Amino acid sequence: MKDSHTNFTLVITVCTFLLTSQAYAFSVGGFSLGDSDDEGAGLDLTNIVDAVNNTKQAFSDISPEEERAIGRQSASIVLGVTPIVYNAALHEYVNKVGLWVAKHSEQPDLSWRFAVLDSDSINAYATPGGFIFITRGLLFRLKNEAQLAAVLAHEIVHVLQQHHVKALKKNARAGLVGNLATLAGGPKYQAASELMLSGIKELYARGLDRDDELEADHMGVVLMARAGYDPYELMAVLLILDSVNPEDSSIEQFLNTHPAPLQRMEHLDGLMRGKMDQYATQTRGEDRFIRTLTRAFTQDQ
Amino acid sequence: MLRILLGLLLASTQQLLLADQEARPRRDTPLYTSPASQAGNNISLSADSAVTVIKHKGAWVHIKTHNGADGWLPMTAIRLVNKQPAAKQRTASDENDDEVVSTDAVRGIRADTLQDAQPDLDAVKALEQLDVGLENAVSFAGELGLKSQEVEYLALTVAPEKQTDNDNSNLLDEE
Repeated sequence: MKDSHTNFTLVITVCTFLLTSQAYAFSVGGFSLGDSDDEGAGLDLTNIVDAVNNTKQAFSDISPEEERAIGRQSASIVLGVTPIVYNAALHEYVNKVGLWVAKHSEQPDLSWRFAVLDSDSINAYATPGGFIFITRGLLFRLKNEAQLAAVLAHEIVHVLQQHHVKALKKNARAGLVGNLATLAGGPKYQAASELMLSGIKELYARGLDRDDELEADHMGVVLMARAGYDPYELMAVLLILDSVNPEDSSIEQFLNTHPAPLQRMEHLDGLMRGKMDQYATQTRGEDRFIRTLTRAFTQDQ
Repeated sequence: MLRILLGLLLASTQQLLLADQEARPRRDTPLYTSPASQAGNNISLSADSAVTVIKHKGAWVHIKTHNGADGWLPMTAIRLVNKQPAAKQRTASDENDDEVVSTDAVRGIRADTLQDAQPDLDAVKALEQLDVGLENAVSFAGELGLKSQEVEYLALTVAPEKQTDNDNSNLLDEE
């Protein structure tokens, strides 16, 4: 653990150099980012406009670059609301677990990034292109590493199955593209960008379709099993979330945007029974999870 | 902030495991002698009778009753009793309560906070720079003894929306 921590410090150091070389102010522990220069910090307008225009086409037509561009926009909005818990040890841990799970998906080489959002709210989010976020509020409810893997696996499936891209396109077909057509002659990049941003905001406020959430659950448990974790720990997560008072403001948005935890447990139970029993004795990783969280937040000076 | 985080963490770790947690059956239910629906049962638990979780295995929870009897219940048949400190609940006065520091970060991603959000592309760039490396993730998994398995995705034979609350047996993939 000491060695890996040292290695990560090296990574941070390299990153510090890279970031400062781009006129960013950056410090470990604070991650204080100064004002960026305009070069490279602007929106990926060309990609975004292309992506918006591509809503007229089939899903499969979207390129990985376009998907990443939409994902960066989505992540910028998520991070515009809630900052990351900037703790190197915690970041390292969540990313190692997430990368290991993602390695067992159909897109092991995507530039996956995992981060903990500094929010009491209980939730997790994915964006197209592989940005995955879990809130501190949810992280602190979990009991072991397999449960963290469960949350991350669920979000990874949203990316694999392009749930957000499809939802954006569905919404776009319902109006976004039509509006775009009326913007001819105007500042189209800015207009397109604003339309994309408002579409993304609407999607994250409303959440994904129920079937997408259920699919993320039953594909997520398979990713967990492939990665060597006890897949039934997703059901345990749902049992824990089911016990949170629904009147508690920290779980309000989660319940508004997901099927009820009990429904999700029943869905999983029906699909997993007789299929996943052999993996029920796989790793849960309680000690490492608690040790890492305790250390991370004790060091958070 | 540190103290708050530690306090939350400690509150959380006191419920480290499902073990020893109090629970209640959601409905009247037989108590099974082993974690299988074919297993025999000779006790019936009434809804809301107090039980304590011993452990869980697969989709089953091993519990004991206050009479000292023990047995297994499906995970979907119980509800955990939440003993965490009462979290802040929504009240009409929240909006105007100066005592409560209610930042967007604490409130999280919601329609109202999203509406006001200014995209933070710098934070995205910073996150992109922090790559822990897949090879490090692989060795980290090895330290915990995690081994890759070949597992097929679970196939649906019935659309999810057609499932019923109490009988999911028709969802089993028989291929």
